[in-house]
Amino acid sequence: MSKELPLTETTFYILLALRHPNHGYGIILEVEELTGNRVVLGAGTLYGAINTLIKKRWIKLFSEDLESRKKKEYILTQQGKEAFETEVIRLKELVDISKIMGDINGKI
Amino acid sequence: MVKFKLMYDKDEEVLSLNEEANKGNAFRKFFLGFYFFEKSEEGKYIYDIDLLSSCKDFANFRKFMNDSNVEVLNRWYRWVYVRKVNDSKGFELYSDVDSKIEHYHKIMKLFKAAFIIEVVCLFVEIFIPLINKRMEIMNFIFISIIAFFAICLYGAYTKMSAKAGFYKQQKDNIGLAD
Repeated sequence: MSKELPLTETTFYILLALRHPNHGYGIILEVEELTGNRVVLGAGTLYGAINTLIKKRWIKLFSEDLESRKKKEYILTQQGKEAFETEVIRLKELVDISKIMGDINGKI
Repeated sequence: MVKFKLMYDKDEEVLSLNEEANKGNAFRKFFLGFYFFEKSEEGKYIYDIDLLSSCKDFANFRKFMNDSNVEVLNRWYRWVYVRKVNDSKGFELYSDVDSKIEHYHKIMKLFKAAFIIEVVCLFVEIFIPLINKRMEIMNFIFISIIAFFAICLYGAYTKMSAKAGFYKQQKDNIGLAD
């Protein structure tokens, strides 16, 4: 697992957006909303990342309706959740340690 | 409207398709260097081009893009032309440095393979007439055409390599900033 960390910003937000079943466009919109439009995922970036995360078994297909034109939905797996948690612990450690720097210009 | 152009740089190709779209010529289809356009509102669409990992991936890719409000127009071997209605948010298939590097590496691999094939063909075209001790004008024409494409492919490969290098450097700089 340690080799997989740190997560890229893209992977971090995709995992976060898949805490509930979500489709490609839903992930793009949710990440835009969560980051105030700072992170806008390209559809090609997302397509590649989803395929990689499925191979790693961090996410899985939640539903696919071949009969109707329903969008494919994906969801986080237990393994994905663990990777996300490990990353959050790492980030929290960074933020906690950074406090020894003091409040720089009142921004933190 | 139909235009003929041979392009080896997909970013220049995207730029040219977007320029046409801004003039009200919406690209629809590509075939053997021919670009087919139809009239549309000026600047209605923004275009991009992707390279699939494999042709078998096309059905999945198309479904995913359609689900993401991206219209897949045309596939040419592993190349895919896509567009999105211009909603002032802009449109780029690849949004982060890692996926851009991967994208250009994929294109580099394709050009490298094509270049090697061209070079092999070039040697065959040169050596067969030499072995037969009979070099005709047609042999010269074939050799020139193959050599021309080999040079173009090598140029395209180095260009893509420079782009991948540019993003790699950007990534390293981000690493330093961390």
